[in-house]
Amino acid sequence: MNKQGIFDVVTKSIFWMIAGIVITVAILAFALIMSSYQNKLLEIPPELKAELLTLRFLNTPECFTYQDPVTGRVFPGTIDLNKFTQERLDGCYRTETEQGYKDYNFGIELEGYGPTKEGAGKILMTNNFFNKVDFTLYKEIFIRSGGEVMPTRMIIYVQTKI
Amino acid sequence: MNKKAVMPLMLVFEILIVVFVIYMTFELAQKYASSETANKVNLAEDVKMMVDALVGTPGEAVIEYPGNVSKYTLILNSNHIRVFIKGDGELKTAMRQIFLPTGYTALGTLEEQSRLCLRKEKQQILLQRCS
Repeated sequence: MNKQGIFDVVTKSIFWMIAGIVITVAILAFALIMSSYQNKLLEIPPELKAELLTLRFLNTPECFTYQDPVTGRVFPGTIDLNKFTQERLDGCYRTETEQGYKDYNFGIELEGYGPTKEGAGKILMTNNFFNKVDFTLYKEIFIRSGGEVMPTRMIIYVQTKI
Repeated sequence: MNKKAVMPLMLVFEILIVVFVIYMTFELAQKYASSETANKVNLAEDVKMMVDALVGTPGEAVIEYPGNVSKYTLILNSNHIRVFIKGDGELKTAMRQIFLPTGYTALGTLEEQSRLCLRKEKQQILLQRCS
């Protein structure tokens, strides 16, 4: 083989070494793009998830909803102020202690009303709520305190994940 | 070896590389296209949202899943919903965590049935075949 022949072979070898790296990166990038596209297809709007999760705060008597003690009738959208406590929220929605920050967490406030009994803070928080508010939901509700029913809003601060 | 022998060898090598890259690209695309992962994850997410909706509904209620789930096996308990195809390994199982209020329980198994229903009875959420 003459000098020109050796030069050609060496040039091609170098070319294929670089091409090998480029092709590998391209295939990996393609796999990543496909994977992210798949994730995009599976994405559910966080507002929808939060809406469904927060339904319990408004409609479930095991959470804050007023239930007539005599008839047992539940009044959806009516919050019993006596039930609006941290203890009640902990029983209503509780994420895992260690990894729960990856799930939805909430801070809940009743406009114009603080939590009763404890009275320490104005906002009730689920166990992994760290004040990183991604968006806020506003719900028109009624508050029942004693015999009185008053309209107000429930403000729900949503932390999707940290 | 002279130049005449080396150059066809390089040409064959180049063709092989090109064929390999095309094959890999198609293989990858086909793998994603035929993958059931997306469907299983979607189904698990849907069931989780159905459970959340039922928890937020006062009284008793039934929801029917608007799709055919005959390919899948679903297992619901108070902590998770698992969706898989019979014979799949643990790694191919789609799982979503659920958080129920104290006193609530969720349970049920559905194996390769076309219609899926979630029923709320008092504080219990049942995954079952639609009747």
